Amino acid sequence: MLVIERMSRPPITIVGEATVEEALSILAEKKQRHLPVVDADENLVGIVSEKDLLRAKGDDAIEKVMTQDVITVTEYTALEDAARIMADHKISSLPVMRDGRLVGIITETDLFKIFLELLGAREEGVRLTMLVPEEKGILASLTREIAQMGGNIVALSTFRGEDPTNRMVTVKVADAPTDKLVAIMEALGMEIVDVRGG
Amino acid sequence: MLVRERMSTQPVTIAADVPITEALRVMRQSQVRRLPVLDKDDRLIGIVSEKDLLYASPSPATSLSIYEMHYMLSKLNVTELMTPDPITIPPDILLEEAAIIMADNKIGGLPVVENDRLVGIITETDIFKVFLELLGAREKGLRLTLRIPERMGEMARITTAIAQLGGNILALGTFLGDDPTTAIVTVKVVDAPADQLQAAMQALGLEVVDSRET
Repeated sequence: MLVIERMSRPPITIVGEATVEEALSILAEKKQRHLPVVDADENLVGIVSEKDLLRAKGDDAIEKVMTQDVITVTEYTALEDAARIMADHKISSLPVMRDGRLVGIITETDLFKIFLELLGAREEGVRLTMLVPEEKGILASLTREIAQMGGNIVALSTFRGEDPTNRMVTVKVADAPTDKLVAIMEALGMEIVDVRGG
Repeated sequence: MLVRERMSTQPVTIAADVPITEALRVMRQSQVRRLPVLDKDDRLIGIVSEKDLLYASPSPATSLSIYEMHYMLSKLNVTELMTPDPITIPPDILLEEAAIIMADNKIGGLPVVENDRLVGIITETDIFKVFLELLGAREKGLRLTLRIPERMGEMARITTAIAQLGGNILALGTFLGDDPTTAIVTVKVVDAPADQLQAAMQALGLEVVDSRET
């Protein structure tokens, strides 16, 4: 999954000569928390956050309060790399560039929605959380067993386990009876941590 | 994954009857963006965010002098700016349930309450870190993105093919596809050659949307 699939475009921008007050009213109207700043030729020259603006004077020029060293990504950056950059730099939005031109913006909120998708949070099914021994082919046996009992995996994700010898797997399965599912996973040596839904 | 496993326990809190200048100072000192507000009996009665406080602060453009401004802020208490009776969650709900509540209500943090006591706080940032883990964002390996038909046993075929090549799956996540008949799977694999992996996926009739070493 790449940035291009989930970014907002075209981005709403502001020019450096605009005032803090103008920028705040755009943010309020568009329900956004950041504005990329562009020059007359639409080159990206900075970015301002709602917080930068709230700390400034209403008639200050944007170019005075913006952050000039903007961290950007491209359309082909992996979504999790964009997420990692945001987490590492403690920022919540990234302008998206193509050949030096601003083409979009991706925010923490966009990524948040993907997180929900990843866990199948809005889909129906039995949701199992298990500790799975860290060994090659274990996910293959797990998914094969589910398929063999007629279950359909609507979401599957892996997390860090309690220690390096295991990992946590969350799987949401449709069309399979809960008790049978649990029994089969236990037979495979999985430790069932949580069961719900279904 | 439950909220309990990823929330911050012993969150920094603030009393209701202190000036907002004090709340701002606490936020900056502890580098948090929101504070649960407790009454004298340590019961949760509200939540206050940095943004609430910043919006309330007079802009430096007003005619007030610094002295007058500081005086005004020091007279305004947390009670007057907090969100009273905030949405709370118990510690044993799923992380994604907490994420849905945050997304649906456009809030960045939820106080966690058990037996009428505040036991923690979970924020967008906490959930963000789990998201990184989920996609193996900090691990090295071959990262494949596949478009797969939404049908029974597809995941088993993929993971089996990877295992047969000796590959170890570090992370695997499923996303919604372009339409209801497809899903997108991102998988990070080590110990298997990239060309063989790609060929194996194509042999299964899957579209390799993207392939990269990370």
